[in-house]
Amino acid sequence: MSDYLQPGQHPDPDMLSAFAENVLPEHERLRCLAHLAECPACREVVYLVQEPLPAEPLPPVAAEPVSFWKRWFAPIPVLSAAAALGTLVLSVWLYPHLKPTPNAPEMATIVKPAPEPPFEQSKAIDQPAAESLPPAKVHVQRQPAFVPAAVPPPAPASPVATEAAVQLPASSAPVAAAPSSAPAVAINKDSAATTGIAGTVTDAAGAPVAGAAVRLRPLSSPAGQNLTSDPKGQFNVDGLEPGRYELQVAARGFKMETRQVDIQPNQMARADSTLSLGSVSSSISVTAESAQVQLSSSERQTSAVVEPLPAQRAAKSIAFAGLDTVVATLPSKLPAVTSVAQGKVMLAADSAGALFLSQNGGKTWKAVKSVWQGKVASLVALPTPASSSDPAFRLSTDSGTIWLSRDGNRWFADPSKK
Amino acid sequence: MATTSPGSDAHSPQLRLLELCGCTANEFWLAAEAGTVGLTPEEFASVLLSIGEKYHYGVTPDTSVTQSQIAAFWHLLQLKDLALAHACALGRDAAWQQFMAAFKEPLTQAAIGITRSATLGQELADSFYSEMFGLNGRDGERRSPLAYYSGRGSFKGFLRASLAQRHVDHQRRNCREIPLPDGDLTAAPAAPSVPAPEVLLGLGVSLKATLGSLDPEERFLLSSWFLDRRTLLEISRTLRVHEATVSRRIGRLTERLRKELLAHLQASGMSLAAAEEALGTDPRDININLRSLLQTSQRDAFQEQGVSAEPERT
Repeated sequence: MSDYLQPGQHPDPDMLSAFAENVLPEHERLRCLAHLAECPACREVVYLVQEPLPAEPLPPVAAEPVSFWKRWFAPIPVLSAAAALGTLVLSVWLYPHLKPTPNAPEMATIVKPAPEPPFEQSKAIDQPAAESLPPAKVHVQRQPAFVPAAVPPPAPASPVATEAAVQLPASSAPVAAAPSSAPAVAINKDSAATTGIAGTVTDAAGAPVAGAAVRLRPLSSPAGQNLTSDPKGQFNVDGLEPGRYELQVAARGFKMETRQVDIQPNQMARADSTLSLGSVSSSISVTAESAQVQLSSSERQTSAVVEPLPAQRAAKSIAFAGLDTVVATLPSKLPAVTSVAQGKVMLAADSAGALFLSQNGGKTWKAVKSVWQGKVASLVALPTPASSSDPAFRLSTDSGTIWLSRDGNRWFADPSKK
Repeated sequence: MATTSPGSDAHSPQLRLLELCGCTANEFWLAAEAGTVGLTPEEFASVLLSIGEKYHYGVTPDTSVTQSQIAAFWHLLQLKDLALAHACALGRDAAWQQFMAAFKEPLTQAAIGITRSATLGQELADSFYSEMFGLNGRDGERRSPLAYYSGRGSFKGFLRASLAQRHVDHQRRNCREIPLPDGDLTAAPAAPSVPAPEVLLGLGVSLKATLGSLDPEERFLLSSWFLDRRTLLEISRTLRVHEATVSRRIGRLTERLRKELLAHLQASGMSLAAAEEALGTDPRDININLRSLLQTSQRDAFQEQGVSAEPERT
């Protein structure tokens, strides 16, 4: 017999089991509880009477529900890490390309001349009148002298020589009456295919000049053919009528070269051109496609897209190369379609072909009395005149006559064209 | 409604049963299917009468019991299990066959579960079989513990409690023989400042008064939680309440004990600061045994049951 469980002092198993099953009346339950509170042996019996709990099967591991915020914001760290990695890789890859080299000065990064040649008249032949055009595309490219990387930058030229080639409405262009298939263009499709001319445009260092405008005009006709040199500086045209041609080669940043070439039958004439450096060249192209203004200079490169403007308002936004001057509204209240400048002297022709002069950089304008017949078709600011007697401006009319002027006010006919 | 006092047995058991509850013994005998285990209606009526008188028909001893209460008490018993247990105690073969068929395997599994060992469990079950057959007779009289099944709880629970009681008895008997672990026992560090003897005396008196004022269930909670290190789940299953309820009760009880102790100490002349300082006294300095103090109460709670309640423990 145990010394701990004395008879008569402990509840029997029947009472303990009844207590564990909670079937005892209240007075017996309290008495049993009082004993259990003081008897560890009976408490242990009570706890042993309890049926062991069945082992609960582990609940299947369900996928943890992903909250809304987790679902949408969980990729953010991953994307951020990917973006940072991409930026790092891009920076490493671009570093050698962006790092200036000793042999490639800052000017070497200047955007090369755009392929648009200065002579755009033939393209503008079939263009409708400016007033009937849809919102015009004003494409202004301002660019300093293009200097290849191997060539040291030239000394700044002063004053600035500006050359402008403006597309005019067909009605005002002297070549408008001559379609591209006209015989006057001197392109004879029936002639031998080998009759033509080819050449390479290079700069003084021998580097090819891409995008140079080449104009080939037979001396017997005012109409000509415009070409553009390829990235290798080469141009090639065949199917020409044999004869003597005037070849004009111009490129931005270079002085225009004019020469005469004899084209023999069944021969490809060779006309390589080496352009000398100029100061500043610019081109203003007005088309009817879109309205985009792109500016580039040696100091900065700016590109902007403006809202399409009506033709009458487009001229107000024309920025002249080297001047950044917006042509004010002309006294005729018509938009200016072409303008040139020599210092503060500016000339502008409106859409009606009238010529206007400004001697204060475009602030005020006055009409120039025309001594020519017809409308002004194009204006050219000639290179810096060597003497005061040399002309500074040249204009051509829709009738094909050429006029020169020293101050833009008084004009005289080109003596070479007489 | 007939009102009677327990203990009057002038008539036969069947007549007395009819007199007490208005139901015939045959009615209970049929409901218990006592005939299948070899019990006669008279024997079964005697069992019912003895159980009713032992537990005073489920009411407090100082109150009179009505005929309906007696009938309800007997009808709420596990009559089939009661007839089986008492038939086994009387050594009826049919009853033993049913018992072995129905409870042999559960009894063995319960023993294995209690001892947490297949060998010890089987050994415990085998020894309990011998007791159930009444081999431990006193004065040549065969006594089986199954005769003390009252039918208030389940027969399986009774068997499990009997096994557990024997297992605990066996464990406590063998604990004396377990040697102490080798190595020097680390002495408890001496308290830096031992409170004055009068403080310790006052603290002991307050503890006795405070713990003595707890009701049985609170004392059971404290004993199970702090002394037995039972889990909340075990306590909650015993008290048939939720675990959170047990946790809240323990929390409230300890807080209340602290307040009552402070109040007792202050009532004995201590200041609040001194009382709080006395509560921080190392319990090892107090010349009282908290375990015995907590477990000191009505030691004579089951004295009145006398030997008749635990005759099997000889």
